[in-house]
Amino acid sequence: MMDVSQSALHPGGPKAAAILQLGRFLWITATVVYVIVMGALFYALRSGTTRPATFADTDADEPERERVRTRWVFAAIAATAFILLLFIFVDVSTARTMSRVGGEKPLRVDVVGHQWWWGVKYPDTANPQNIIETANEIHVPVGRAVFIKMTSGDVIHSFWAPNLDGKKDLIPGHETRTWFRADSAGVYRGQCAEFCGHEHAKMAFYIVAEPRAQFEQWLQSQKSEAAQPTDSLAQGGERVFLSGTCAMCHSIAGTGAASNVGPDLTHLASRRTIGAGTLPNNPGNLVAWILDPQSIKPGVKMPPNKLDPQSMRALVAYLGTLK
Amino acid sequence: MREEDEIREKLETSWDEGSGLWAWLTSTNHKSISKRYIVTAIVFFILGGIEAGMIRAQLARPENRLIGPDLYNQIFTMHGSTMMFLFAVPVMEAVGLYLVPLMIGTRNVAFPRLNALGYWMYLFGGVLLYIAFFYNTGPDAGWFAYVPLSGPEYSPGKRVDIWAQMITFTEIAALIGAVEIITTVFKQRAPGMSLNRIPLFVWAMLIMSFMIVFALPAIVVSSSMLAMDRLIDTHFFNPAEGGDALLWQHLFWFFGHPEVYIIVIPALGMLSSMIETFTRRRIFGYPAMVLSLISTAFLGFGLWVHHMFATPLPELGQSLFTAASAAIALPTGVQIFCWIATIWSGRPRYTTSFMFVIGFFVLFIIGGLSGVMIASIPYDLQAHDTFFVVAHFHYVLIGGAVFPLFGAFYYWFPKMTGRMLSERAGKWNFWLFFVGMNVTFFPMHILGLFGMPRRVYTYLPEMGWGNLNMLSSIGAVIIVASVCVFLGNVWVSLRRGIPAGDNPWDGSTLEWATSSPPPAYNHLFIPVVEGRDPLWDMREGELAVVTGLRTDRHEGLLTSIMDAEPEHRFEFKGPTILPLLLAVFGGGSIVIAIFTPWGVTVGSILSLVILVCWFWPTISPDYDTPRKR
Amino acid sequence: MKHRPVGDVSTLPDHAFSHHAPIWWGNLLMIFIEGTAFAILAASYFYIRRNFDAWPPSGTLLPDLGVSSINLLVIVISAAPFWCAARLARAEASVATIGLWLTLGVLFGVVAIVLRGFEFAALHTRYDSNAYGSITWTILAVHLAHLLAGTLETFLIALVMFVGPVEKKHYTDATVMAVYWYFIVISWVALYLIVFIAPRFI
Repeated sequence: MMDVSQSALHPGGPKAAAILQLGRFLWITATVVYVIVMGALFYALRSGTTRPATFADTDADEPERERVRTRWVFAAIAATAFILLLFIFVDVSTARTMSRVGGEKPLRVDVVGHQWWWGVKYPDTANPQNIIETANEIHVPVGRAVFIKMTSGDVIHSFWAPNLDGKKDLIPGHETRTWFRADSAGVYRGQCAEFCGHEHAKMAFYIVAEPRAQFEQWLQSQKSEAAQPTDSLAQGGERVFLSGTCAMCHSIAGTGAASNVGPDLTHLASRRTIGAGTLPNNPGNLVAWILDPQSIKPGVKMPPNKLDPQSMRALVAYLGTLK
Repeated sequence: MREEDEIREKLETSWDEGSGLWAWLTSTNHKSISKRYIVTAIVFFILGGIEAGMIRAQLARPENRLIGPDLYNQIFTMHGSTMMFLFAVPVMEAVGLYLVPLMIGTRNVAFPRLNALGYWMYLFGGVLLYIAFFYNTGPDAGWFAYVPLSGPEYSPGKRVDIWAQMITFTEIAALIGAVEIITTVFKQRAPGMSLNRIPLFVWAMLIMSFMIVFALPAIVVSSSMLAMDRLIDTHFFNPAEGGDALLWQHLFWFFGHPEVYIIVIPALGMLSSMIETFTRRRIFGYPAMVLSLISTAFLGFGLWVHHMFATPLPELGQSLFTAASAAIALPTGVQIFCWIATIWSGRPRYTTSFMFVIGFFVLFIIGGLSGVMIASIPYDLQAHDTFFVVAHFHYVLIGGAVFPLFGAFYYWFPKMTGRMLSERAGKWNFWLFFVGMNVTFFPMHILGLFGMPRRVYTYLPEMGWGNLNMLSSIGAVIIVASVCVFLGNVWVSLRRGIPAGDNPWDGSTLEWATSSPPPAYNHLFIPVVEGRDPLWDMREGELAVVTGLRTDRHEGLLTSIMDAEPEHRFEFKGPTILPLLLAVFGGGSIVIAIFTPWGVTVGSILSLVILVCWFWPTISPDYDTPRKR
Repeated sequence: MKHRPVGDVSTLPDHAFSHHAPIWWGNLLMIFIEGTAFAILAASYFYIRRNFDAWPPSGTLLPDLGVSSINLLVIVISAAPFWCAARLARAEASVATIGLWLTLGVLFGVVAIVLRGFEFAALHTRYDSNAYGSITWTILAVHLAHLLAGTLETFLIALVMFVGPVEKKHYTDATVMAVYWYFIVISWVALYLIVFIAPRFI
């Protein structure tokens, strides 16, 4: 399949990088602390072999030993307190760095969580007609901050692309916001991080960070309505789509299909995956998915569609034209 | 001596509960009840472990088709709910309810019938959950049951209702246990056991009980709200009608975070007992230890928001929770340093119990350090709800609670049964668990950072998580082997174990001053405590005692709260079937309420009848002359 | 184990009052548990408040002060018979007199329970209307459950005083019952202020 990256250890932007740096500080400090405490424990265990065997036979120099111990315990407590203060300082300063959005006006993207897919919108404040709707794939320009407004259409989800940023919950009845910036081009995978029912495991999305020109091109192509199919097979497929059950849930701009129960399919063929990151988007997988989504993603809201081979071929051909 | 034999004989007669099924159903002796409490909790531990094994089997390979999402979601919900509600808290309380009366030198807990009721409620709650699970009605919204997923719209059917009512059962049981322990410790300590002579284990149980009293009402209220949203159409959590999904999270974690300390604090008490005995030294810094436990309990209530860093909350407020989460590391650190100082001054004996104590240090400190990491908001936003967190809290709970508990089991099993567990099998038990635990859970830290979220039933092969998951699953097999060794050890030792004698480990606290297993009345005479370690402080091998309690009835001695001066005598209630009946009717009404609100009404009326019998006075002649009107 | 007797407790009394008695502690812990539950309900009330522009929600009338204030008065005055009963019990007075005071307490309880029925109507909302209705009904209902339990328990103790075999420890029970009733009274004063008065200001 494609090159996937979904890891907090390979940052593609400043926020994930800042967290990774904080992580390195934490891991190193924790390791040092751990080694010292374990050293103290095993030293204490070893030195015990020379001590009197019972409580009653204490050494003559017991008070002196007690003083030494007290001093060490106090020193250890002071050291712990100091490390914790240092920790809070580093934590707060990382949080500060991460809240600074630099550069030009951020790109705005709205995300709505659904069981189990991501609705994505690119609002255009100047021209509200120009809203772009897509699903499970967010294209962003490299180097420009992206400001994301989120909510949920059903249960709580969490938006998480670890290469770019930590997670933020999508909560029905609340609007949450976050921002990130991709500094290097690449395809970053993200996944729902709050348990949201049956297919929580198969609710992924892609963030495609591309150079400015390429991104603008993508934006323009997404703004257009779906192309009219030209060959007869695809035309037949469009009829299957509009007359069958498909149009009851999905919308394709420029056709009569305008339901928003399921993901918008206007530019389906331009997307990398189907089923919210479940399968690579190719004709074979499309057939399998349309025929019996329940066997691929059990519990998904899409019903099986027992189409005859003729209609299926036409439908898949039509969907393939939705670039 | 003849005199003592006479008293013993009389006590044997008056405290005898008989044998057979009826005696079993009506027992109100804290030791009988605690023993079945412990056994029940271990059964649930095994069931929860089997669920964990199924989770590991499913996740061992990418795109595994062993378990589908519907069953998987039930299994991980059952695993979490079982381990938290049916194993960890009950087993800690059960050990406390067994040992506290023995350690403070009293004959039973303060309210013996209530104690029995607590056990039955707990048992029925657990059985309800598992019956439902076997009929494919196991809860599947997570042990945290976040709304709206767990609400009426997204979890139709009875699955979540079962969960909410199971909570009601087990929380009633836990609250009863807490009330028992607090009252017993406050009023029934042996003469002379002033506050500064209370064994650290008893302090820990006392502090845990107070945490239960203030933390559990939050879950009782919120799970009732959830049940009402589901059953009678209230709108507490429905955003469309002004309810709020985050209200659930606040209430749940206001309980859920203290819950962790409710589990760990008793374990810390067990550690103090074992470290003292196996190093043959008093615990270093007793006042510091007590104050640390108390401050941990207080701080434990100020951390709940650190489970909600990814939700929209004011940032300043969140930073305060970071600071509080970091601060709680300090009292924990104090205790660890004091224990190390104790070990340093003493001469350790490497028994299986003590091995588990060392295991605690090695594992729990890893969990503590990763806990400080996720107290940081930026770091937590990456780690939250990933396998990093799964690794973290398994190090905390297995390292911090299960290891001390296993140690405690090897330590107090001889007292409870009169026989020693095999040390050889014990070492196998320890090493397998220690290795298995690390192999299972350490890789999860890395998986989390590699982007693997929690609660997923499968993952794609190209994610690259397969190898570490396989390793983790192999570790789970090792843990299973360890638990099997443990069960085998118990099975064999119960029959052929070396007889223990009164005080096999040369312990210093009062439970070792009586026979193993202890008689129904615990101590022949109520001991008088003259120091912090009564059995080590004994002069010429003689235990100071008070005499004069009646032997023909279940009489106990009450002492003052601070200095434990004898104040007055009182009578423990004896065996009765009423607690079981109340649990049947009261519990029945909770279960029927899932199907019709009338369940509550009918159950309440039936329960009322039982309560009248419960409270109706029974006067035996010659005790306290009935008052003339 | 050899024993060294250092004291004889056979002459100690066999009952005690206040914090010397275990039942007093059991009762106090029960109050802590239920008080925490009330506090959580109150916190939820103010939390839910934030989701509404108007409180009560627009279209819902303010809760009536008539019947609720009368009931507040009834509940507050009801503490008096319990106080008298507890004082007499403490003085180990005649059980019939204590029983009479407790019976008076039961009567107050019954009146409060009946008035509580009208208080639900005075809210002008229903538990299934919206979150405001849910939380206010629940607060009233949970407190009602306390009134019911307290009244029944008092009735039972009064009955013991009249017909049952009475031990000295039943004096303690009467005092503990009074403490529980004070809790019912005090918690209602707070909850009344929240449910009936606060909507006029927040």
